[in-house]
Amino acid sequence: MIVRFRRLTLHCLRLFSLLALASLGTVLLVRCAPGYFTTAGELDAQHSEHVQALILAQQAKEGSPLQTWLHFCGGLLQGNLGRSHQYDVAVSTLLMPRLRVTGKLLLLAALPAPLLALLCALPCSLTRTPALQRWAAVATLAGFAVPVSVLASAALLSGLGGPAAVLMGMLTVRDFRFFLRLLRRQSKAPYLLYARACGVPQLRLIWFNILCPMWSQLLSVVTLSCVTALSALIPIEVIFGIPGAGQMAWTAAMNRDLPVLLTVTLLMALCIGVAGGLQQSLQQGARASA
Amino acid sequence: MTARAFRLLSTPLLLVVQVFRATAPAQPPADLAWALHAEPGTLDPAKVDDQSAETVRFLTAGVLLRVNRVTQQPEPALAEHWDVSADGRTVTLRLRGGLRFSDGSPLTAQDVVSSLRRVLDPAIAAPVADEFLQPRAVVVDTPGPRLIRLQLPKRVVSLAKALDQIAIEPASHPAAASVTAGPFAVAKYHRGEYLLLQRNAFHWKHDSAGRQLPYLKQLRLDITSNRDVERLRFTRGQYQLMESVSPDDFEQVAHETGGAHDLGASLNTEQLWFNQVADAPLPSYEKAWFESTAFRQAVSLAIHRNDLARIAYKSHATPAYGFISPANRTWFSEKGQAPHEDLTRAEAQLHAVGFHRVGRQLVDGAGHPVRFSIVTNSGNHSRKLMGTLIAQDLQALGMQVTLVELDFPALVDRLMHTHDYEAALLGLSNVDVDPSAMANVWTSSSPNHQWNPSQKSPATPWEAELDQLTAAQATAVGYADRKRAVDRMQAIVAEQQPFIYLVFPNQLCAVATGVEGTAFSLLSPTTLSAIETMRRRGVQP
Repeated sequence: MIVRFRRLTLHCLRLFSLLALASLGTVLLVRCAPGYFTTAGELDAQHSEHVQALILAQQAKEGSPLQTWLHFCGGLLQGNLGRSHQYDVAVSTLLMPRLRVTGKLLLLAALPAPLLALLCALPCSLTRTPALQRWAAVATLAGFAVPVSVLASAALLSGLGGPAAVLMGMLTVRDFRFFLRLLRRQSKAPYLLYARACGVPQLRLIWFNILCPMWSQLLSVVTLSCVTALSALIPIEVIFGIPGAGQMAWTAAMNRDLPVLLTVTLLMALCIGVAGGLQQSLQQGARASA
Repeated sequence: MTARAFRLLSTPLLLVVQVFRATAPAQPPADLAWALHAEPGTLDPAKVDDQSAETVRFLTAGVLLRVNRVTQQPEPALAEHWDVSADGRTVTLRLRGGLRFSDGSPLTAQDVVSSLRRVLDPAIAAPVADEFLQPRAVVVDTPGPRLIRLQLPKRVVSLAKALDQIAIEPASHPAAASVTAGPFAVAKYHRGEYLLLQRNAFHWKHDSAGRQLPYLKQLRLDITSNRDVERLRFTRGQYQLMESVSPDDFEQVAHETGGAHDLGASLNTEQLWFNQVADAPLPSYEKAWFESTAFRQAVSLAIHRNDLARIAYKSHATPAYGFISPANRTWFSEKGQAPHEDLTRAEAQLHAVGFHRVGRQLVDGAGHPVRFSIVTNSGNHSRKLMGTLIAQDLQALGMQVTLVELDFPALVDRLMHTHDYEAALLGLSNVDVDPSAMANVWTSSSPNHQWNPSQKSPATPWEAELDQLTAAQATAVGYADRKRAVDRMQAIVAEQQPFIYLVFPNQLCAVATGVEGTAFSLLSPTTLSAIETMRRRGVQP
């Protein structure tokens, strides 16, 4: 019990440090990026004076990068995510509807991807047909080699699939590769050879002797693929014009909208931290059961 | 066992099918839908300072006078009549009778006064207030129940344009376009997704048959910056309008839908300029090149504008030799144009000021090779092509030119703050035919005097003359006096080439064939100027 509590505390501390470092890094990177205190409106002959007055006011308000970071952290502790520079509204107002869109997209893609990957990996791991093995290798290689933005652009222009299909395809390829490796190792276990020799039906063998003992390892792969999905969200949402959090992060980065960018970065860091912790505990569970 | 296996397999396959069918989130249906390329910065009509917000204001705002985007002349709107005193300092407007806001409440002269005062209030910082020159000194009152009087400290040349931008809102609750006196009102706004505009059932305007306008019941403005998504949705019939079409997409849109239109030269310009800022972090010999009129003229003479229009814009642009587009017939001057391409003359001009060739490389009098970079924004294909073509043209003079693409904020930082660049290639969007809209570009003390901004006193005699002419055209009473000043400005710019004008990109737009009653205009918004009379074919108003 004490060991578990200590482990949890350590993980929380690690997560907290990750969030603090991610937010500080974001503040420094964005504030030091060229063009932080500028907007395209400055080039507009009609509105430039008005825009420049607003920029000067913002400069005076924000102070140094460290002050900006402390101000943001202070606001965060009071549940205030700040105000978007670009839209002049509370970041939470901006973020909530977009999180819903992104969440739906993630769910739609991340749920079937591991199932599909498993369905493809099972026959590849159980049979030794050379053609199937070659196809599996080629598909995996192609899936890894093609950048997600290229895949998304091709899907958009051909009209063959939507954003969820692209995300699912990408996740399936990644999951497939890990599943195949795990299943191949598992299928070589001596007790499986014995069970086969005894005439245990194939489906029963797959369910009780392969999948059930491996569930924690498979789940940890799925957890990791959620992290991959988060990184793929930005290009997919931008290319398909999906009004989600990924697209918002892109627009915020293009327009140096620090409060929005900070919030999205923190959310992503939180997801990655939680996923990492979950994966670690799943692996520990798997080791203990072994 | 087979049935179980089938069940096992079918569940993920059904999920996969569902995923392939899933596309973007569903959006509400509308009579007309199109894309806004950026989120409107605000819905408060007084604070509009970007293109998207201007489109929303055009569709929703009830204004006293409306500048007809096609004829470019002011027309009565909420005000049925207006008078301007001989000295141009007193304006009296008479409101129509029986006006109502979109929520049914009456629109009174008090609402008008309150809206005007709000715009002129320094605390609101409305960009349109600058049009009144001294907004604090403007007095607004109501001499009668339907009369509004504006007393101006100075004559305002673009008064109609200013009034065209002031939305009349309910005095008790300015409502950010949800309660309006214009043709539409904002019904729903999903940030980052779309704006849904609902027809104003109390709009004052009727057609010749007495039917209330607008005909269209709902408009949806999707917020998407991705031009490919916009084009695909238009060709698939999900959008009915494209306010602008890129030259690269034009032929495809025309071929697939038959609804693409090339309206000819727009008011917008594409130009190249050299950094002449005195304290720019550049070597002194480079500053000397850029300050040399002969150097700038030679560069201008070496650039083949026809090739830029033909290759970079797929023939959807008009070569430019001056700052006023030939589409602006009121102010364009044939005499105020820069000389056309002439490589021999360009070489002679460079030779005359000490430049010479060492092998194939051009060097200045002190032996410095002429090498410089041109900065531009990334993501604009036509501009990138133009930069490459210009570099090739200048190679013929022995100059080595590199094109550098920067993201927009980094580019603005260099142009407006650090001045760390040699030459820049950029465009200027002109939203008005009146040259006074460009006053900030020509006035040497302005931050938008790009080649040498915010000067304390004019650096050159010709910039001093430009300052005088800019002020003169803004205050002159008659058209002839203003035209004389503007013609002289065009001649100075053509001779001194602070901006080397390259092309006027053509105004390209697209309207679905099922939309009727469209009128196109060079002034923004291009396809929406007749929004009140637009309708879908086969749909009864």
